[in-house]
Amino acid sequence: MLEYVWLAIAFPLAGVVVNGIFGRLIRSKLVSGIIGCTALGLSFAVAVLTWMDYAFQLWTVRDGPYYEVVLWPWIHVGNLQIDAALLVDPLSIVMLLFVTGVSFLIHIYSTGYMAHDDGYSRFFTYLNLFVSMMLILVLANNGLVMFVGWEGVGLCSYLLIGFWYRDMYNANCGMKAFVVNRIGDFGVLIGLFMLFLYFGSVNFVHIFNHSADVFSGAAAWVPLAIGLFLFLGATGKSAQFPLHIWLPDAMAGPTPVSALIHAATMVTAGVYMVARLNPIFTQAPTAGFVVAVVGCFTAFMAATIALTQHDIKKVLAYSTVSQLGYMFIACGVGAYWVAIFHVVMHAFFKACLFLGSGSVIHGMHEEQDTRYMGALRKFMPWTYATFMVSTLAIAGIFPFAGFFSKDEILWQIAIWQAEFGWAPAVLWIVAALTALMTAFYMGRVTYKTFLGKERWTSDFKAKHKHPHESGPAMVVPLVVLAALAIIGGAALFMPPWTMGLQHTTLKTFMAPSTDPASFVELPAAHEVPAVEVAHAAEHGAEHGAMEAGHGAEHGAAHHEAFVMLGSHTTTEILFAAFSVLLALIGLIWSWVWFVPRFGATEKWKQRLKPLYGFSLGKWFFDELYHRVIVVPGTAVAYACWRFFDLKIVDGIVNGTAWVIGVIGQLTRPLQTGFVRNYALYVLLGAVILMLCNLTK
Amino acid sequence: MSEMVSGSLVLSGVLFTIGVLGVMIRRHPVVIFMCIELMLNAANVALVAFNQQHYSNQWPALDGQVYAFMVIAIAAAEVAIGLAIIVALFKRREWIDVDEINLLRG
Repeated sequence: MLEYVWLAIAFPLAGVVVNGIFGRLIRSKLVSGIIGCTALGLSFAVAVLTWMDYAFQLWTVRDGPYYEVVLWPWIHVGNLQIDAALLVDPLSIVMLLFVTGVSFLIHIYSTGYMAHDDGYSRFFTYLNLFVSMMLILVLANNGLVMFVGWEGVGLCSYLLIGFWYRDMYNANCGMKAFVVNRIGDFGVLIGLFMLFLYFGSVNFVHIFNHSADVFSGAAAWVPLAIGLFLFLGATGKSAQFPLHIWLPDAMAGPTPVSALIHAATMVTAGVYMVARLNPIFTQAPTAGFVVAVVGCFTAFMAATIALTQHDIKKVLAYSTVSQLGYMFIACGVGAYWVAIFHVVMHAFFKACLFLGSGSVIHGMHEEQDTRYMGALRKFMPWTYATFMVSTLAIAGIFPFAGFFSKDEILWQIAIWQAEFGWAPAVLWIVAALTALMTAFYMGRVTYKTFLGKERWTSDFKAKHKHPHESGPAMVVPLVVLAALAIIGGAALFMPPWTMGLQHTTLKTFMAPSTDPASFVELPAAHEVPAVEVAHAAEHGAEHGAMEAGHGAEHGAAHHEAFVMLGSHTTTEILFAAFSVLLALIGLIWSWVWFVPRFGATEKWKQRLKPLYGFSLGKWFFDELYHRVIVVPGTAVAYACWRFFDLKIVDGIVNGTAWVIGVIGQLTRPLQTGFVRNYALYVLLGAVILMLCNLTK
Repeated sequence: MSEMVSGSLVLSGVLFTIGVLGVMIRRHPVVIFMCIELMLNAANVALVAFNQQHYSNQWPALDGQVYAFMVIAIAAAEVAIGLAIIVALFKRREWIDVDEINLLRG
């Protein structure tokens, strides 16, 4: 089955062709929707089969964890050898599974949400293209194929954010997303060029196997520069400071698109790339440090902004930025599997939240402002229940999905071996504070929307009387996602079943891809007897596997950290209890302020007016960028147009035309209109030719 | 060079010069046309003469003569088109002088 993994990409692409070319002929929304959903359903089926095939073969494959599928030779020029090839390994399988799964649910939801839209088949075309590009990105076995997907998702996000392009605002938001992403893409390109320069290849497996010896022979700044350039790309795609500004504006698209961008595709690409190229970040601890600090700052900054936003989708958007910050902290501290764990958990509950907000907006007839909602619980019970579950999950309440991943991130910060001793403590405090704010703002948006009194506009009441629950096409995906948000974390972190697999936890399953030590000690990992590996796996997520299998040095370093923190299970449980406590405080605090004592926030708004304005204005990043980048950029562009374009470029073109005109004027008298003159010219020409021949 | 060949080449040269002068000097299109024919036939004479000069047992070919036939064929086609143009011109005007047909002057 592994060699047929390309089918996962091919099915959505087929959907693109059918809906994109014949969409106008189909006309039936039902058929368009079925084609779009079926394409994704089949893709998900391929993903599941691939996973099963791989999971039951793992560790029996003697050549290492990577399975490469070469589709066709692509670029073979000199020593640049690039194939259109896919890579199947635990990391790409995890990405493949949740991208296709969550996208499938979003597709089903879209059939309901977009039912009244004219661009129905166009919508499904873009949606399918988006997913297929994301799959190319996660399945690529070299940097260039990944870059194809990388650009592809950028293009599709542009198309989908500006889906309702007749409104200029939406079109501008699409352009903003595209342009900001282009800045990041520049970083990715430079990073790939440098990889090719030092490795002579952009093939991931080649890079993994040679990273240690190549970088030991190169200057210290080389892995740092590569890591930072790649991270610049990741900040663009994954909306990290300073390129986070496009994501909140991406709300201009239809809500299923927001869910797709925020949960399954696009923003996870940056985290995936850092996790995918983790051997490079392992070789450059400073780059990892930068990643962690930027992630931490972004998480904090976005959380403070989310505290005061009124638009339900804006709150969720900043919440995504904040959660992505968490993922980058995990990447930065070297816990790549935790980052991917949080990516998957976040996909479940954030998709559920976004689709829930879409359901609310649908039921409220395009109202997005939480100030004019309230008391929707009675009218939209399913949406309320699923939204509440996801809120608990993102806040990190035990045993919901978000608890496991977020708590693991906090724990990994605590045991981080940073270059600077103060870093883990500072980052941990900020991350914990962010967790508190996350619980608060998620509680706030949920209570303001579903609980309390009705605050609907009189206009709305007059027209529609009361909101309505959405249809089954929208509710069923919500319920499925909510179920995943409940059990997903526990199922992947400490599953109570084994299903005959040796690697039931996400950590041990992903270890070959994301544990840096397993690259260094790759051959050794295979010499470990199966019994011992199984034994290590039984010990579960803890560090048994690492100590038994790979990287004795690395394991020892971790071990010291545990000794420092005392018995690690007890400590970890204490940490977990603390983070749940923070989440509970946040949820209860917001409940008090927004349900029984609604309006209590008004006097705090007055007391903390500058801070409130700062948060409401989104830290004025847009204004800052407008002054510092957009205005000078426009001035430079204007100058270029005025002087370079008009004077030099146009000057060359017009000058050429002028010279030709002058020559024409000079030779004009020769064309007399008398045939005999022309005959004379012919004769003169013939005579000259003859004379030339004679003199030779 | 045999007597006959040199004589033929002189004839060819004379005919060609007459043709060139005719084209340069005369104004009536039919006459100009005849002069062009004269030049073509001068060339034919030269072709045949040169073939005669080079003809031998080692090179028993008739390339010059064959080429002359080709020139004749092309001249026939040219006459067909040229006369058609001239007839068309006559239809539009009573009398034509090539110097009056100067719409394409610069």
